[in-house]
Amino acid sequence: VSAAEIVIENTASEVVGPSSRRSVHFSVALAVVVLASHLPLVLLHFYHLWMHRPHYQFFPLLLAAIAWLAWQRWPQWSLPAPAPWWSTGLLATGWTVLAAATVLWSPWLAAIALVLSIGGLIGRYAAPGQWRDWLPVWLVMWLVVPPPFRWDFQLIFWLQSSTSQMASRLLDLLRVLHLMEGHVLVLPGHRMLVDEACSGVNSVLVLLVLTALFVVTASRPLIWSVLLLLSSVAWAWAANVVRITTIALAQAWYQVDLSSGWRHELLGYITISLALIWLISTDYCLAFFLRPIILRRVDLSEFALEDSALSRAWNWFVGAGAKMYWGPVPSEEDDQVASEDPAEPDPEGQLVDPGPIRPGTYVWLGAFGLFGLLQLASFVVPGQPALVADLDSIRFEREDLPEELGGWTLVEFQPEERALRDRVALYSDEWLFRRGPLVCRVSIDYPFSDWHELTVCYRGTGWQVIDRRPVIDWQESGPDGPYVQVALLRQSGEYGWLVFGLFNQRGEAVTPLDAPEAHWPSVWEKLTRSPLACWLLGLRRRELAETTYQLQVFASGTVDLSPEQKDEVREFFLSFRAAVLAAHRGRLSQMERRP
Amino acid sequence: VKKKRRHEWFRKTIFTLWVFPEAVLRFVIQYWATRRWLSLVLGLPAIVCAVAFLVVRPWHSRTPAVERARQFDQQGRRALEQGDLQVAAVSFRRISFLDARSPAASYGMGLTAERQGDLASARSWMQRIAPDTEPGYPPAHHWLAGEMMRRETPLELHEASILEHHLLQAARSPAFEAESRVNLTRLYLLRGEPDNAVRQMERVVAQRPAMLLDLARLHAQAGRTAEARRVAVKAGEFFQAKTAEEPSQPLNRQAWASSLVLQERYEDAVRVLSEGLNLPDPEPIHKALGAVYLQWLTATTKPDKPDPVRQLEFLDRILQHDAANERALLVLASLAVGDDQTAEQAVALLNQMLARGAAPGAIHLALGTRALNRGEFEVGLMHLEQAQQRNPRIPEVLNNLAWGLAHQDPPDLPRALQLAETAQKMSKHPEIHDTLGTILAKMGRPREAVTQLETALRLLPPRADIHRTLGDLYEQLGNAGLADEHRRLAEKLQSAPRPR
Repeated sequence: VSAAEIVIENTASEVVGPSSRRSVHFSVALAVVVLASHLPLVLLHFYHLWMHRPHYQFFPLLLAAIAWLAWQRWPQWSLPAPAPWWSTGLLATGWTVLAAATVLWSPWLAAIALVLSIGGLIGRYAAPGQWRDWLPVWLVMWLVVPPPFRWDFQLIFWLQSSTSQMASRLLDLLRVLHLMEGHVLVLPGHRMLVDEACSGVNSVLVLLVLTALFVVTASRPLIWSVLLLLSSVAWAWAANVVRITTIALAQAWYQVDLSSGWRHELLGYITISLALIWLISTDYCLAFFLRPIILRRVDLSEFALEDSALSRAWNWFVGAGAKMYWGPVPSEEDDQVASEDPAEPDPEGQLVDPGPIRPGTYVWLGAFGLFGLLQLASFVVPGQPALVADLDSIRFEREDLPEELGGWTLVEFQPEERALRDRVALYSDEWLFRRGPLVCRVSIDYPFSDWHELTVCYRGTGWQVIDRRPVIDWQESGPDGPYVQVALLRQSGEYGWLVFGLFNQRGEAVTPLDAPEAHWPSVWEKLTRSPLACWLLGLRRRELAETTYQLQVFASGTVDLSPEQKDEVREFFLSFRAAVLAAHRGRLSQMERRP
Repeated sequence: VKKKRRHEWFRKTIFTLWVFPEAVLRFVIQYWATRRWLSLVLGLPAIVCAVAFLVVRPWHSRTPAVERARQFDQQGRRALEQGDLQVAAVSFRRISFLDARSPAASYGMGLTAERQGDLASARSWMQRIAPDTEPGYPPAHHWLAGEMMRRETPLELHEASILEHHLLQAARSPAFEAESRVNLTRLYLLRGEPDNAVRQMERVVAQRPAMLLDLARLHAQAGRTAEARRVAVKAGEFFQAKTAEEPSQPLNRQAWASSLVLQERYEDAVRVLSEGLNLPDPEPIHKALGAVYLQWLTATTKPDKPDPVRQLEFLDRILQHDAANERALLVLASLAVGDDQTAEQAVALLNQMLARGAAPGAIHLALGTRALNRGEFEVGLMHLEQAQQRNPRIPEVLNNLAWGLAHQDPPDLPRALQLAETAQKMSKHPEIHDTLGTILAKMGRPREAVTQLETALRLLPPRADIHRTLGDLYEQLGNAGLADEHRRLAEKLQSAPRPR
């Protein structure tokens, strides 16, 4: 914004007189206020992206690239013109979404509002024909907004499945004995998880963003751009298939473990480089096939030099306009020139003079400023203490469960610590309990943020969910709150019985979601998370992302458990949860007593 | 006007059809002439790789899932044979991924679990595809039947029914039919169902004529002499033909002889076997001859009117062919008990056998027991010590040696007790209780002695000496009434000291 301001000021001082200068300053002030009014929640959005969506951690680079593109395409001063209707519409939509974001305390909505508002500002201040330059940049801005309904996580799951299946086919063709259990690659004596990083979602998004920036920078025509963007997804996917296959081959043929450590990282860089090479090659390929027809008289016969409707149609199709081109010697620039529509005037170097200050501008200024202030106020509204755990002090131990629990005997205990910001929990403490022929694996996995749908993880390891039933009625679920019971089946014919639930930092059970994959919080749920709404309505406020702990009990076998055995496992879960909650609350009270 | 318009439309269509190929041709030429071929060269890596990725799926699909499953099954079985359980596990699991209902997958995983020592999982995998009450996958039924038969604990009645079910289901597969029916035959015989046993064996012989002999024996065992003879004739014809085909194979000749024995054609059986004595290894033929003579002797000896001379004559022939024939030696030992001429001849024969170095353990046992019965403790103990040194795991030897040590002068009671206790661990024979009780009585441990002797009294026929010892023991224990009762019974029986 500051750079833009300087440009406008410099150009304005050269071109316009003192009366217009005030309106220019006022316009700059409006842009600054509009953008600043989004900032508090948008910054929170970026924080959430960084913490909870590792696949979006490229966004700082994206923001920098957008700023650079904006700088490159910043318009020059131009003739006065009224704001088009669509820019007012975009600005109004942006304001409405911002209002909703502030009231419902939704950083995601604020990010949408920001992009809409920027679109409105562009429409308001850019010259009428300049949309061709700005539209791609504006479209690229949408990449900082994750899709709704956690579709990005579904995309991750799909990519994991898809790359795993393709790698499995390749390994079959290479006669490497293996098994793909969900996203787990099993080689004789080895099990390797095809995790999110390997699945290619990171490289897909990175390549997609790079390609988007490239097509905008290089002004590739529409068809060309779309095909190149699609190919970037395909090549990232292909590169990760190569990556998984290479890991399996290295293990199977040379007993070299490429699944972790520096070798794994190096392999990742090599495969992403491979994807980039494929992408560049695809660009050349598209340049060959989608080049407009530019005729050279010296090369062609009279028959071929005649005007052709099909050739004109082709040139229109590839974005070069519906006309024939003639040239003595086509050069590289021809492609660029041909890709632009010569019928329209080049809008480069134009900025619309806002003219005299209209009363509506004051309304915009006030409306956006109001919600900016309300967001700032929300940060200082007094509320409940934060429900984010201090993980250094909250750790579970073997002694938190007794040797005998509800008739079950402890067999084994195994704590595990994983990499930070992994989609799986940082800590997993796992106990193995036995009662007669039944063996149960019980574990506490933490920290999570809000509800964690454990069935997704089981699906990732090859289990199919036959039945999932949240037990919410307190008479059935017991005093410690609701939980979920799940019947599972593996393709090999093994049966699983899973009981799981989550509790928050206060030791209260988290209510299971009915359809976690497509969960859209209700307005009331959103209001309970809004500091402002809670303060005004006197509601008890929930944190946007509270630390949760997941408890699970899992039993499996080659035959399905009888109803009595399932009841035994369920009862064991309740005993286990009661013991863990007692330990957790004890630790909390100890922490409170500390000076 | 309408007609004119129609013609105009027609003209336009014709014109377009005429001109269109020309336009397409022009477009193709123009398109072709304006391409940058360097771009195509630089784009080739993308094209080649895209084609390669696109081809993977159809290429992979060329091998049908059934064929792939068969390959994994073979790979898994090979790995099992080679002991590579990790490869086997992955192979069999892959089958289940190709066909979730494939019994071969569960069967393979069951076999793998068995090799990994996880018998419970193995049983569970097998039971999934071979239920206890319904028809399932025959190899799994066969495995489950084998697992039940290998158990050390005797089967309960319902378990025997489950075993029968598994064997019947396993018999559905040609690969396991013969073995399963043979096992069914055994099961029915154990359950006292000879008719069912014969029915199973009759179905086996249809596939394996070599089992005719077993069928004939089964008939004989069931008391169906005519049927036994009829089948034995067929068996004889079969094995005669086999012997003609392979004259150097002793087993066929033995089976032929056995079928003749079942027809009570003992001379023919001896002749058939004698013809095989010129084989490179005549030892099996000698043993078979010994067995034929023994059966001949058994079949022709009347239990109520034995002919010791003829018996000795047969025993001599048997022992000439098979000097270690235990049954013949036992018969000989029983003949050696007593003081008559037959006994003397039997002893002479035993001594001859001993001198020839044949079955010294059994002969020492027979001679030692005879000497003990005659009160010749020194000779008897010498033979029994020899017998024990040669085979310390025969309970009869240990028991008789313990008896002799307890009754010699002076008695060696601690060693006698140790030997008798060892014998009791090996065998539940009631005589051992008697020996133990007698030794304990002599050692002055009346309560333990009473326990042993009363057990012997319950299991053995009434004996005066046991009652007499019990009378003495009860007197020591202060129960005069019971002591008198035992003495009264002892006098009533008036039996002489029993042979052991």
